[in-house]
Amino acid sequence: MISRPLILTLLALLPLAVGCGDYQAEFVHDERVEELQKSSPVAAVNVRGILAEHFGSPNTLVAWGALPIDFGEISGTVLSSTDINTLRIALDSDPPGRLGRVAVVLGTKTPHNRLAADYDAANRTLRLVPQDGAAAVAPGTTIRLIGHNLQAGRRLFMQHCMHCHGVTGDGNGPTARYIANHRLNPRPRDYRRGLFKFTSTKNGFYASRDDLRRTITQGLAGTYMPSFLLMETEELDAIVEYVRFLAMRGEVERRLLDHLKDLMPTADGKPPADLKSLEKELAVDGFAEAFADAASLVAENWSNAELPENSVNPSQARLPDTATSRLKGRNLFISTKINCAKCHGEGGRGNGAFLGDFQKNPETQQNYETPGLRDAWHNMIRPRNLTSGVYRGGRRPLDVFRRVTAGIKATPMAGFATLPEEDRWHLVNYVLSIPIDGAFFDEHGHQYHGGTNPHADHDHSDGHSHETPHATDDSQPKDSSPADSRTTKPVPTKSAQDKKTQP
Amino acid sequence: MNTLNPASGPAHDLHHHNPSFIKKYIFSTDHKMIGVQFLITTLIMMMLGGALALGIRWQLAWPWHDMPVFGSLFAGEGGQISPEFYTMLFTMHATVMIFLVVIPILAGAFGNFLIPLMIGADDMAFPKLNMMSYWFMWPAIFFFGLSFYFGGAAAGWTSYPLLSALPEAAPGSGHAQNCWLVAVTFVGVSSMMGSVNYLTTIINMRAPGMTLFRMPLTIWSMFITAILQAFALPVLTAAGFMMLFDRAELGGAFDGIHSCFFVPSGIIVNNADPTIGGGQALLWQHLFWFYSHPAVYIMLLPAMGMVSDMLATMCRKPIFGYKPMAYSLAAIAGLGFIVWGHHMFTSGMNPALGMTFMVSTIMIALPSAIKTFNWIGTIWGGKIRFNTVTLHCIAFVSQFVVGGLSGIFMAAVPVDIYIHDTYFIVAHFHYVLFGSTLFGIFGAIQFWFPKMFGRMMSERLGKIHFFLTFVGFNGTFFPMHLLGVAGMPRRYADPYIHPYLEHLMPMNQFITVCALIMGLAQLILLYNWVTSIFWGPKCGRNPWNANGVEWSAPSPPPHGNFEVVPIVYRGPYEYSSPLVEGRDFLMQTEYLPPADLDEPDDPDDPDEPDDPDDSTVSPDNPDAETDAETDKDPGEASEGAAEES
Amino acid sequence: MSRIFWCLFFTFWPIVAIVVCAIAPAMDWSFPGNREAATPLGQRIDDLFYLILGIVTVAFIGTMGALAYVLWKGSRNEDEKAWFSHGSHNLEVIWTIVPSGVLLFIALYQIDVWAIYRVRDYENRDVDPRPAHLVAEVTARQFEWRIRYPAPGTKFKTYKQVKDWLAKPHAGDVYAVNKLFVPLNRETLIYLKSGDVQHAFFVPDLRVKQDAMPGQSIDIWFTVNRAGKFNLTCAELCGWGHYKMRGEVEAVADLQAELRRLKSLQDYDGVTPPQATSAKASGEATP
Repeated sequence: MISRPLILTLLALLPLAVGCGDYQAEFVHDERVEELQKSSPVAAVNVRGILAEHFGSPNTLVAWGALPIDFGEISGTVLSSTDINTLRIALDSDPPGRLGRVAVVLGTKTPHNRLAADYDAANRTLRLVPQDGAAAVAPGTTIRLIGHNLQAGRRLFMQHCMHCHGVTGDGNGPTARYIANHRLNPRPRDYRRGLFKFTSTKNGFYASRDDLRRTITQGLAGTYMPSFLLMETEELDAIVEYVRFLAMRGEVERRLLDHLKDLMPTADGKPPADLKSLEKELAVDGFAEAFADAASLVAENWSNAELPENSVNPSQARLPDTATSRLKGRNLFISTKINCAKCHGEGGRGNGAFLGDFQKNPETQQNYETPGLRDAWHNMIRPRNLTSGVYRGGRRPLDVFRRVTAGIKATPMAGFATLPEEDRWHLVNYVLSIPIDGAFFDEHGHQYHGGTNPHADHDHSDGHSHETPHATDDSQPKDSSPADSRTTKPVPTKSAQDKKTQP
Repeated sequence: MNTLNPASGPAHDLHHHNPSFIKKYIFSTDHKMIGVQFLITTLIMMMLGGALALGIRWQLAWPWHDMPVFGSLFAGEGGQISPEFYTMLFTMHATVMIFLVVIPILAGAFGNFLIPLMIGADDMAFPKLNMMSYWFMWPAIFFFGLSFYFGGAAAGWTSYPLLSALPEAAPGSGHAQNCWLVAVTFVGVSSMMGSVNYLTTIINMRAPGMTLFRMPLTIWSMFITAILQAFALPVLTAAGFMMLFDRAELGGAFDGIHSCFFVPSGIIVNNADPTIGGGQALLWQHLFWFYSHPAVYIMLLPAMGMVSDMLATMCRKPIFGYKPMAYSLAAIAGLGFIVWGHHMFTSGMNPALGMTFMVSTIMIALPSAIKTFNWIGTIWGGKIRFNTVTLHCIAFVSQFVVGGLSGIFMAAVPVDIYIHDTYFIVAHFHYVLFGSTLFGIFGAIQFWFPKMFGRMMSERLGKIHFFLTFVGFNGTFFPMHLLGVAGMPRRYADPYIHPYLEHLMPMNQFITVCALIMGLAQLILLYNWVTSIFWGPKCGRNPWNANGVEWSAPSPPPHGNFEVVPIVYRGPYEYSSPLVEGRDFLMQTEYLPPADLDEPDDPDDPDEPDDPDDSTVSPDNPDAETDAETDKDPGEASEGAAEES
Repeated sequence: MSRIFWCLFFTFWPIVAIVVCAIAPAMDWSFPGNREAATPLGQRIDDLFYLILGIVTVAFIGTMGALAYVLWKGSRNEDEKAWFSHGSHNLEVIWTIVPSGVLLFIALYQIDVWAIYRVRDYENRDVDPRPAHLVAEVTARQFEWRIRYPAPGTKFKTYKQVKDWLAKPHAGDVYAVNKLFVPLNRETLIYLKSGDVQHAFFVPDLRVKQDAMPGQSIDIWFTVNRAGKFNLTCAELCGWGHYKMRGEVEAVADLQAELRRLKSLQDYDGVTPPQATSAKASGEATP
């Protein structure tokens, strides 16, 4: 009965049982869509549908003209058409690399939208995805291929960025779940609020393309966001567009869900009382209108970020980096007017008094359970240790000036745009000097790092002053490296009970 | 029963007890059953290790592509492998292959099965310890499996700190790494128990007449391997404990030990608090490689020994240079203890050490070369039977030459600066571990299968498996030498973001295709092995007409192995001996009448002085002659015994 | 029949292997770039590599040829028995002495290169003119290369000055990430540190590799004698981003000019324009 041939046959059939799945990446929806599903499935379906229609999925992206994104466009003319789905075309410029499923717009007066299947550059033949009701294309029709830049961005994003930032740009990629082992580490950015920390724009404005480019090329020192310095410019630009695309998609979804918050289940999990009437209201164009409003608001915000008048630029050059300027900066630092020391600590080590306070959760208006500072994503964060010389947003005087002026978006680091520019430069001079010459000043204006002041017995009876900081000299305390006064007992982490999901 | 005095009477047999199913098949103390248990377990682990390797190859051939069929397993990552998953893949591939496949199959499966049979003993010296050494593998397997649950240890099988010592440093460096360390400890203990057993058995329990220089080279190699294990493993176990104490979150009484053997002070990883420190990361490398270099010889020597036996049998010739072969085994093992620094030439250790380790490493090529020449000498003038066993052995020799010669590049320190941590190293060790050892194992599986199960494996399937594996293997690993010279580093999830490596993708794709062929071919071996156990053609005691003592026992041997205590009259390689007519083999246990013998160490000649090493000879034992005569096996039908009339 | 097949099989595959190796340089499966190292030491390493390759090829052909020969003879052996030989003492002596000689030659011949590369320089590392050649401190961290140059125009005369500079940040230091400038035709001294776990500084074109050990500051020196950009990669597993650590080493004729340019970019305050950039350098700060 049981014999070798039988077993062999069964084994040969085994691969068929496994099947030939073809897994497609999908955008993950905001958690609130699941909530909405419970009370108003109709609304949830609408949300999913409208997002899919205007943004698509990672493998079939939609180039929606309302968004201020450089999708990448190539124009040309149709030379001839073999059949309704195959065209010979002449393009104004060659598509860079492989042309995926880009949008095809035929004609200008009454544009006809199709989708490209593939393009054979050698034969200049474009094959289109079959579409019901497609009309024949006359030779001479203008043709625009839209979307290759976004697709390139998507390919690069999936290769370089997705494993941290997630398929949807929600900062929840598989690597992110592990980085979050330790509460001190910054999580990868969740793009979906449109908030980015290190920008050149004023408070209330979004990040510009240059800001994103800078973050990608310089990395964020001291975090797991590495520097992609050597990436080609075209690749960089494509990724920036895709990141903006994901940010816009996420934010549009969030705002739409905000608009629909009345349809969410109530606190005890039941559908709201006036559900039916709300749904009726929405059904009559209310939904599409809400969506369009959300989208135009997001689009406007992103466009405004590019305007030069919205970026933070000093009007005067940096004041000379003298001991006097630094001392003024120090005095501002510890003043109660701006309270730097309350977060960054008297010695600039990031251990200020505010760390012991409870911050309020802006969404629930309740205090967080544990004291400390939080960012907009409710992650625990610490103020920067200014003695370390690690500047996540950049170490140029301009960068530090921008931090002082506009703060760091989405964090408790407030900007002090109302402070006179001079004062801000004094602060910049002081902050940049801390890793090298120290955080403290004695009555003579000598900087020192901490502990005993080596200049304590120093006198000025010979009339010398300290307009310029000391160069390296052996009188500097040798043990002044930042390493020595750190805590010696590590805080036990909570990661021992990790309940992460398995990839 | 007194297992330490084999000349005390008839061999132990089944009449004394009737073990239950559990005692016979699960918690058996019979070395043969334990050997088969090891073999089954390691063959399954081999499939697992191979699957992990295919994951690596997929990523290198088509990086970040949505994986067909299995993409849904990675659903959270858009259908593609994530970088930390990749680090887990190569870590666990190496770990499984080294600790759960090659070492246990050589020492655990073949060592256990063959040692008592080949030296004429009825079982191992410590049967219960033997059983424990097998069952200690299971906690190891359990903990390796558990590490997968926590994300999979991801610091490489070499587990260098600080990546492995600080939980924040990598996803797999949390609980997964703890599990890994515990598992390695269990594997180490299992091996140490085994090595104690093998050493004692080989030294004390040889049959009468089995002097040290009449032992088959398999036994020599197992003996020397056991010494290697006994001396080297404690260092790894100690290092493993040191690292466990270094790691922070063990919980309970162990929480926060922070011994910092390997952790210097002030290191900030992942924006965690700075480490307390006082240790040196380099220390782990010294401790680890002090074990792991002998480990690679643990993974090679038994295969070398078995291949020697198989080649002599299949070429119907004595081993060319038996004593040099035995001494070479010892030289490789001895030198193996003083070369560990060649894994660390660029590590930042004192550069002067580079010179000393270079000289000792280069000299290790010498005994290996001697062995290779002796194998060729064994085949020289032989009457070769081209069956599956022979093919695997010839492939062993052939590929060992490649592996050994590529090792010379690495032994040369300046050249090693360039090829360290590139694919050249990967090519080298796969040629010695897979191309040599694993092929030797495949041959050994086929060769001793009749003794294990009383049936023969299919020759045709064996040859098909050999052909596909050989072609697939060389197609996979030979191009890796070129990849290494081109500067492609190891352990890269995506080498092609580096411009100087972009052009290597086609070669990597070729390698992946060959690897796939090779991987699928192993299913043929599994199929052959499993089905032959039930439906293979039955055979007698000595289907190969081989000389070893094991072939004088029934196939499969009963509990106690031999009906009577075998007496050994000569060395194991008297093939094509002129002393016998009409056949080309002369078994170790075969008695020949004194008139035909003129060998000085004839144990039956009372005028000849006894071999001082041989304390078990009892020429006055009247049973000896009778037993020897009944040992002759004239008429039993056996495959391949064409000379039998 | 099948015997002939297997003999051919084992004769054929070494030939394929040799052919593949022979065509490798032409197919670009060999040393990167134009296959010549860009440092004198690298060129010596290449010479050693080819020497060993030659010796190994001879050994390979010899051994494989012998194997093929014995297989052929053995497969056609029609005698009743094989050759009953237990070995040959003379042969054993010959093939012990000759390989020992060859191996010892290989070992001793390259001690010189290693001595120059690491040992002699390791012992003389604090002697002039070494300190003057300090170019940068490179800190490898997960997953990038953070570089710190001394202020443009800094001259180190003693080793102690170098150590003092390495110990902490100084005013005027120039910081960079992932791109290292080194002088052309002058000895370069780099101190390699690790910010977290083990990494390795590997520049294939220069044949330079050194592990970065946490807690240690290790000096590397080399002289680049060809202008150009060379890939920098990490060669010691450092985590999931091990493969991401793509950097670049560029040998320039005027290092100080580059450093001044970088410094002016670093000092940009939003108003005073930085020094004009040479060639399009991607990633250099745009205001």
